[in-house]
Amino acid sequence: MRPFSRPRAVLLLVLFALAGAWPMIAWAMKPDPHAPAHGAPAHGPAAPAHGPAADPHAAPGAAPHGDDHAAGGEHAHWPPPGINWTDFGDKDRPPFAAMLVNFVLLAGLYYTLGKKPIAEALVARRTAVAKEIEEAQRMKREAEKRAEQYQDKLGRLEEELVTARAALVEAGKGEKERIVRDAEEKAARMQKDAEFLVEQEMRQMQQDLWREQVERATATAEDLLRKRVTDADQERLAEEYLSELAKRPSGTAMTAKGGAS
Amino acid sequence: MSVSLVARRYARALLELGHESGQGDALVTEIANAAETYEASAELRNAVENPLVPHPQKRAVVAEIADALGLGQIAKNTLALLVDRRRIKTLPYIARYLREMTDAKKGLLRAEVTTATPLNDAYYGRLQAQLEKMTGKRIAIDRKVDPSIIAGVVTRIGDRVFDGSVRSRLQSMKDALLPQN
Repeated sequence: MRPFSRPRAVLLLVLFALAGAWPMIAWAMKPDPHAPAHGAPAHGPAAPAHGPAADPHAAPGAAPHGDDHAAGGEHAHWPPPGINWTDFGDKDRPPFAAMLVNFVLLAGLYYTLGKKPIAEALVARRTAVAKEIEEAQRMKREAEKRAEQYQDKLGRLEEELVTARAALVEAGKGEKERIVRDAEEKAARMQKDAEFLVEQEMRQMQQDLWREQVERATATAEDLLRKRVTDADQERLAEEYLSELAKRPSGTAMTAKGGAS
Repeated sequence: MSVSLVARRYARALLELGHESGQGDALVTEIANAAETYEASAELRNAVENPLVPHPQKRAVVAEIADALGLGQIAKNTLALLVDRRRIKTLPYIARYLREMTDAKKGLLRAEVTTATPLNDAYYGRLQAQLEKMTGKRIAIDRKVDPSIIAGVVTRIGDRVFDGSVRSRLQSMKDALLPQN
């Protein structure tokens, strides 16, 4: 529902206040019976004076209508005055017509201002309730559908159990075969690697042994040569060296680390 | 400034001095002897290079050694100058560059011939002739004895080596026998 605008709301409040306050204002404007300016003539027959000033017989302790009235206070008149239908001049009792006008104005105001929003609110409420009903019906249908499915599954539970068990057994067989196959492949690979390592180790050992033998042999040969080379051998080798140089053609450049051997 | 560059400058100056004085070969020999002595004696190097030794004492030591080696005046002055300039460390490089420059000026190639035992002069003469024939240039031979080659001859000319030693033959045989990795 669309709320009222601020100026319009203020105006409505003022109108409501005036309508409701009018009878009270009229009541409050009732003249003071104790005021000296007000004499007996100021009170009409429809509004007899109740105060001691207006009623010379209403002295304290001497009630004009008996002891019962005196005990009830100064306003305890009996019988009560009649209804003021249309006398707008009576300040003591607001006229019934004024109240009726007030009520009609108030009702008209309510109707004028509230007709559209209330109608809209009712329509919206009706729409919302309709939607909720539809939603509830949809949920009900879905729940019924799920219930049917569950009932169906419950009916086929044993069958599904058998199927699932068979599938699991089949999967387990496949997994077993795969694990066995992987293990066999891994074992074959490890065996191949081990054979390769053994072969490499064997080759390395052979090479190490051979290298050691060669180094020992050359070291032994060097020792023997150092001990047994004579001056004659030195001269012979020097002559051979010269002969090797002589075999080279003239102008041949010597290469680095060139040997005469 | 690098040691090599400094040594080349000193060697070039000495070469000119030797040429002007007509004592180039003697100067080369004297500087080579001084450098050999300097390299051979650790005590001498320590005395001359140590900054704690007073400078006059350094000069006195160098002068005494120059006298003992019988160096000429140019060589003596050179050693004194090197001590004064604190360039005595460059003496071996100066000797080498001076020899190379002198040889180049004469058109000589210097061949270092290494043998296990000293050989006779006639052999060195024939070897020099053969090397001159091979290279087409005049050859000056520096003899060197190194028993580690066992037997045979090794000739080095610049960065080229002609190796006829028994040690290299043994090494070749060893390399041939060992497996190739």
